[in-house]
Amino acid sequence: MKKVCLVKGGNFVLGIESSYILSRQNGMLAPETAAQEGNIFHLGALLARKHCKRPEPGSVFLQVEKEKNNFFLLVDQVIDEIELPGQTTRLPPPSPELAHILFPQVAVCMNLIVLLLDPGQIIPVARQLGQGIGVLAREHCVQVRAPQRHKYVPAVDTTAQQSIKSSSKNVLKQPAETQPADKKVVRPAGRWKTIKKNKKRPKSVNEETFKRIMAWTISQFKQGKVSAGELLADQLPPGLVQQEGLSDTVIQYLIDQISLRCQESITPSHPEEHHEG
Amino acid sequence: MRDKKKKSLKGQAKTVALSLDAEQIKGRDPVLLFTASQIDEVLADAEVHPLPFAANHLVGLCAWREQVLPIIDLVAFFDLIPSQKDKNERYVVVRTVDSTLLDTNKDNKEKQNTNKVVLRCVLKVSNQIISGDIPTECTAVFPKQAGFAPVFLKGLFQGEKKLFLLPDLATIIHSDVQGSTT
Repeated sequence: MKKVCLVKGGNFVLGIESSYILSRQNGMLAPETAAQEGNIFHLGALLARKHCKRPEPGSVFLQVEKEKNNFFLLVDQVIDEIELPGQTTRLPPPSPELAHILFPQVAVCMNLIVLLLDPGQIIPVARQLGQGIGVLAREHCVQVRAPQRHKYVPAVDTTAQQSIKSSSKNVLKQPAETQPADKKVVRPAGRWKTIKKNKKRPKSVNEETFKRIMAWTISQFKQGKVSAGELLADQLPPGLVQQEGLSDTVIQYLIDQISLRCQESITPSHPEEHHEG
Repeated sequence: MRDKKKKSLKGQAKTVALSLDAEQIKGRDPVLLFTASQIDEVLADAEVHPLPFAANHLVGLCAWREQVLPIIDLVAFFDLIPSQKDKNERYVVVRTVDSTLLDTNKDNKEKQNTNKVVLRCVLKVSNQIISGDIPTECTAVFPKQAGFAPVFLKGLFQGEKKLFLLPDLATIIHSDVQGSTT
């Protein structure tokens, strides 16, 4: 008896031996996966000899491995897992050659036909079809990393606070006055200087105000409030900021910078992030 | 006289005529003709399993008595014009001897007998299935005149209202090309 995963791709239903399936994932692939350009295939498109643009909502990525072939196969649906009797046959004539290659075995189970996919033949068949038929672009399959928006309670260590303190002079002297909230969250280091140059200097923040705002921001951050919309200057407790003449824009800028440092302290750097920006 | 007539009828094989869902050819309805012994079963309903990369005439696969059989649409194979009438499809399991395989063993008579391969396929036809005797009032037609490639037919006959096709199923099943002359 073989355990076989029944999947649907386009108009076709076929079986993949469960032992070949390493993992399955609904929706987009995580950035950490081994998905590379050219090893993500759209089953329905491949079998229909069509090009495909993006994964359809509700489809499932299967990571499949057979011998040296390791790839991701996007299927419309995982129907079921069944046990097939050991006895299989070959496709009858006049089945086409490509079908013989992809499905060297076929089984009948409860009067249903199960075409057994040979995972080792997906890549050769896709190459034979050529013109990118059945191949999905990685950028359309891998989710964009946005760790700043995760709803978890971050563990802000003392390194973060040191980082904030060491850069506090810069923060105090060079805040930006107006900046879209959503662009403040993720900011590559290279862009940071450009923004600073273009913004005019607001009134300075004294050290006492800075410390109070920093303490409040870190406490909020520890509660999981990390996105731009969740850390707002008007949420500061009344009386926390006693320095007069400070505009909300300056305070907001300060909050954003502290939040950014907190995020940087907990997020390991990923080289592949840069192409997504 | 009556006895003589009975004797001649005894010698005739029973036939099954399967109408195709296609427009008339030369003013006659195309009908497939098989001997009754070639028909294994008429399926009221068939679970069609589509097969990737299949040619137009290969509708899909079908499980029949634990066997995997191809479903063939001869209207598509012969490139006939599909009928515009309401379609009431039927699927008929037909068998034939694989003559293409036998031809390769012509030199060895024993092998010929033991290597007979029975091929089965399911034909997609209309619901007009008539069992009867071989039609007598027919004249032979050369396949090319009606647009058929001769290699795929064992015979072509025209009656008053029908055009009878005797398809060479084994050749059709093994063919990579379509059965029309165009």
